[in-house]
Amino acid sequence: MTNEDYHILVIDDNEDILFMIKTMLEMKGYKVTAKDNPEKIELFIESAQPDIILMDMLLSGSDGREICRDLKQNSLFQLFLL
Amino acid sequence: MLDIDRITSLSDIQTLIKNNSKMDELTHLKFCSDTVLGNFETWPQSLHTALSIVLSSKIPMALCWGPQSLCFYNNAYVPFIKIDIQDSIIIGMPAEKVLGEQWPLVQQFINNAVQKEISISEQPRQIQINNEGKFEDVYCTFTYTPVKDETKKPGGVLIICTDIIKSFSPSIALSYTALLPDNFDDTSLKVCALNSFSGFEKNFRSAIMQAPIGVAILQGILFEVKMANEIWLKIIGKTEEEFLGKSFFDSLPELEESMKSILLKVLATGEPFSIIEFPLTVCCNKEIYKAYFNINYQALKNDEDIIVGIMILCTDVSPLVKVKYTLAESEKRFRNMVIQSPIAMAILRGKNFTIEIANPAMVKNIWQKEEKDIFGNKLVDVFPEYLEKINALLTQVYVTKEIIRENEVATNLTVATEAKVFYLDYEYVPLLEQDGTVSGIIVTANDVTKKVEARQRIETEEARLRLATEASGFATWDLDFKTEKLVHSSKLAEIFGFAPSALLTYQDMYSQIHPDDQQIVAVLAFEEAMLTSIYACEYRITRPDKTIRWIRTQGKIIYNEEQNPLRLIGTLLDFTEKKLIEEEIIRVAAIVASSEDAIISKNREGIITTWNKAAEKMFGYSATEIIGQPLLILTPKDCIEKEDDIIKQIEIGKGKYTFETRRLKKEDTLLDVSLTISKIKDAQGNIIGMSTIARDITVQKKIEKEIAVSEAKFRLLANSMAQFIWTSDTKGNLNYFNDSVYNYSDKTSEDLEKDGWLSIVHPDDRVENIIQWKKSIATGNDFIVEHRFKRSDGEYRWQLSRAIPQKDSFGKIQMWVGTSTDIHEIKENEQQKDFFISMASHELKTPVTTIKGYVQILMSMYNEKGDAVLKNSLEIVNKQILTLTSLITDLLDLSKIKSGSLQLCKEHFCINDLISEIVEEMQLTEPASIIEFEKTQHTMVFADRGRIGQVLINFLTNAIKYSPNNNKVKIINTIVENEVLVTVTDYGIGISKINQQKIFQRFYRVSGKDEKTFPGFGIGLFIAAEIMQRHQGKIGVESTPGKGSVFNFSLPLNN
Repeated sequence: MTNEDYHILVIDDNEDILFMIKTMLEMKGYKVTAKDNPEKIELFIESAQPDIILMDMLLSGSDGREICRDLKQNSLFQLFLL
Repeated sequence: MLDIDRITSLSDIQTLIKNNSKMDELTHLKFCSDTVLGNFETWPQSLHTALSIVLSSKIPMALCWGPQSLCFYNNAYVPFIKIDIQDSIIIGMPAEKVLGEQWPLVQQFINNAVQKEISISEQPRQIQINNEGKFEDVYCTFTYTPVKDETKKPGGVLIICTDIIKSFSPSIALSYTALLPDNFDDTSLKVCALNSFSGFEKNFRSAIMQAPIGVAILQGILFEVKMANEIWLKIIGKTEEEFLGKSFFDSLPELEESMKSILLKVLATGEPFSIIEFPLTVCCNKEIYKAYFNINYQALKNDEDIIVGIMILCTDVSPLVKVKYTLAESEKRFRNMVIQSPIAMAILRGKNFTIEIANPAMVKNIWQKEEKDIFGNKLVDVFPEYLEKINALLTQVYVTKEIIRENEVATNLTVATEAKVFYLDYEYVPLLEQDGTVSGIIVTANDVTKKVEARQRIETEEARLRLATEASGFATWDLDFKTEKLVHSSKLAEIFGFAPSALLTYQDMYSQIHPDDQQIVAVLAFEEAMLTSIYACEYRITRPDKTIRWIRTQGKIIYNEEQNPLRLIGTLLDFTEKKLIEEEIIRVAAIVASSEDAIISKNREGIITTWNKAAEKMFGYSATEIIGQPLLILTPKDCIEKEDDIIKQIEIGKGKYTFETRRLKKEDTLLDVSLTISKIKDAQGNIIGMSTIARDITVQKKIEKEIAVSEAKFRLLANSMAQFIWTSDTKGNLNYFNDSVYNYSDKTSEDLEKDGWLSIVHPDDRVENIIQWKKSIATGNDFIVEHRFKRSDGEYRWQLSRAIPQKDSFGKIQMWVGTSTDIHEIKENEQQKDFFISMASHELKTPVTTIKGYVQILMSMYNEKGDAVLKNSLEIVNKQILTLTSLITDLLDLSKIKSGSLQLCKEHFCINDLISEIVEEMQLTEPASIIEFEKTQHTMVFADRGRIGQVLINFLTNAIKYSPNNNKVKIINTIVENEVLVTVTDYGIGISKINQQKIFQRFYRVSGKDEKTFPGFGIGLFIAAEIMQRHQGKIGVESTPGKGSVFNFSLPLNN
């Protein structure tokens, strides 16, 4: 498998950072989906089927850690704190 | 022929001449005078020699010298000379004159001998000699020997009378016969005498007449007196006419009865008969006296051996008899003396020790026997129990002929039916006969019982005395000067640290004497003793167990009759305890004398009895003027204390009472004194007075006043300050607060005393406060702490409290003085600042991270396109962003530290691995630097790996940053005790001493011209120090400006 085979979901409420990460990952050849809020993330994960999710811990409106716990409970995602 | 070649010295002759008595004197006289031979010294040697032979001989000798036959002779020759020897002319005179009628005969022989040069002997011839005035006929043989002179020719002739036959004159023979004892067996002499009598008939008459004893010759049965000499006639007191020719018994009818039968018997038998010591009354010179005679009757025989008569020889033995009687008398007296002597005596005779005589004192008192049982018996038969002793002892007296004494022989005797021990001195004296043989022994026994008992009593007394001395702790000793032998009591051994049974020699004792005292004991004290006869000294000894004892010894020299010292006897005492007391007394006396305090004592009447130097100085009175005065003269009227109160106070104060008062000096001025009063007791515990120790406290009082004033000033000053001021004792108990404290807290001093000052400290700060305060009290280091005090309105306000110890001149802490300053505003400002920094650094993080990201995107994009200007610009932007990131990280750490939210995440790891990793990383970012690290043993610690790494990075960054001219950095990791020590060494610009102390403070940076060169906040080392502190580790630096620095940190090992 090459980088092109991976689909990475990036979530950050700071658009500048979101764009920066998206650009850097795409430069490496990954398929990247950027989201500026974690709303309806379950639906998105179901439809888009990302391999990796990069998410800021402190997101405006919701706590990244709660989202992570939910994700962990309801899906096969492994959680890594970076 | 006589050989006279032998040289004899002149002196020899002179000596011989001298020794040869009268003759020599005469010879010498003659020689010295003018003679034909001339001077003595000029005589020929042969004459000297011959003369010396003559003079030294006992044999009658004469020397006829030279042609004139000058005659010399010796003493033995004198009887042969006719002329009176008093006439000195004859010596050295021609022999013709000396020898008289003998000369013609002698001359013939001399001439013959000279001519033939041989020795010629004459036939024996009768010669009349002059024996000291009496003429005797003897038969002699003369030998004539020529004497050679220097020319080897006969110079003279030596006449030697070789054989003298003393032809007994009848008178001499008769004398002998008469004197012979009756029981004398050998009649040959008598016969000889009688024969000579008959042989010399022609001289018979004259012999009888001249005999020194009375002689009478009786003829026939009628005893007709044929002859009677003068002595006989004298004895019987008759004249020749009255006696001769008559019958013996006619003349002496009184003797007929006693003597006739004897005479007849002699006549009949021819047997001689003697009467011994026959008493006769003699009339001589008309003097009548009693005399004793030994009368001897001899038969006279004619040629036909027929008895023809009797010769009566009568010898006057009166002197002998008298001596004999005297002897008998003296022996009688001696026996009486023995018998009557109060001293027990006995005489033992013969080698069997027969008891000849013993006086009653001996028989009754000593021997306790009956006289009949002992006299004539052998001593051993009387005392068979002493057989061996008697034999040994008495035989010794016999053999040695010396007196033997046995002293103080204990003997059991019964006196008045009571058995008692007597002491007897026995003496055994040999009885010597005239010939020196021992014929007996005188035994004396002297009762010395009383003497012995007396001595025993003395000995007992002595023993008692010795016991008494020993009981009083004294030991006794006795040193013999001659033998150096020491006799001592058991106590002495004990004193010297030995068992009582030990025996010490003088040398033993000496070796134990303290080296400093040996001179005193052995030399000085002895010298003194020789002068005074008293020996006395004190010295120290070391016992075997090393303890030191003080010894006092006293002795006396014992002299003999010649006043020569014989012995030294004495006593010895261990007075260590007493000595210590004495020393204590001396010490106390010295203390009293040298005391700065006046020490005064008074008796019960209040009269001063002692007054030391300090008292003189303090009060102005000398000891002589004040002793005997009442102590009250020193007391001002308003200061008189009651005696009873004082005694009560002394009892309360356990023997002493100290108080301050005032006393009067001599010049009537007042003195502030501190008095300590105690009782003086005698040995029985009765109070006999009081002692007062007075200390002048005038100066002290003055100082106290000054202190009081200065303290008031200080209080005023302290109270006028807004700051809190407080003091503490050395144990940390706070004992003073200024008014500000009370005003601020609205508490009283009683409140603070009751609740404690900690009650105003914020509860959260109390623990840290106590820890720091205790630490300072324990170490003496300054106390600095920030804490909150509760104000009266309930608000806690931050205070900076500092306390420093006050030390005396010896550096000992006396007290602590502390201040607390209100820093609440400052503190709040600081907190706001910290909060701001925290917020700012956090807010800065996102934009910087964003910029950093985009720069990296741009860099990766444009690196490929090759726009050099853009590429460089982007790299510079990136580098500055990294610096900015680092600064922000530091600020974040700092704010974390300030807020206390710097969390440690401890784990077990090997510090060597960490160092290696960091060195690798650093080499990537700083490829120009050479970082040396030698990995040592596996070293585990328990720490926050990231934070320790941060410290190490900080050290390495600094090392590289401040070493512009040297790119070498060295890391060493060692284990010191229970810690791991990591050092980072650089060879850079270094840090000055002053700066080394500030380097770990917040915001400190190397200042001055280098500031621009080395940018940064200056908080890196502060953070590092903080990290190490939280790990209970240490951080430090050593540095020399211009040479480089060594930074180090240490961590406890993970055990």
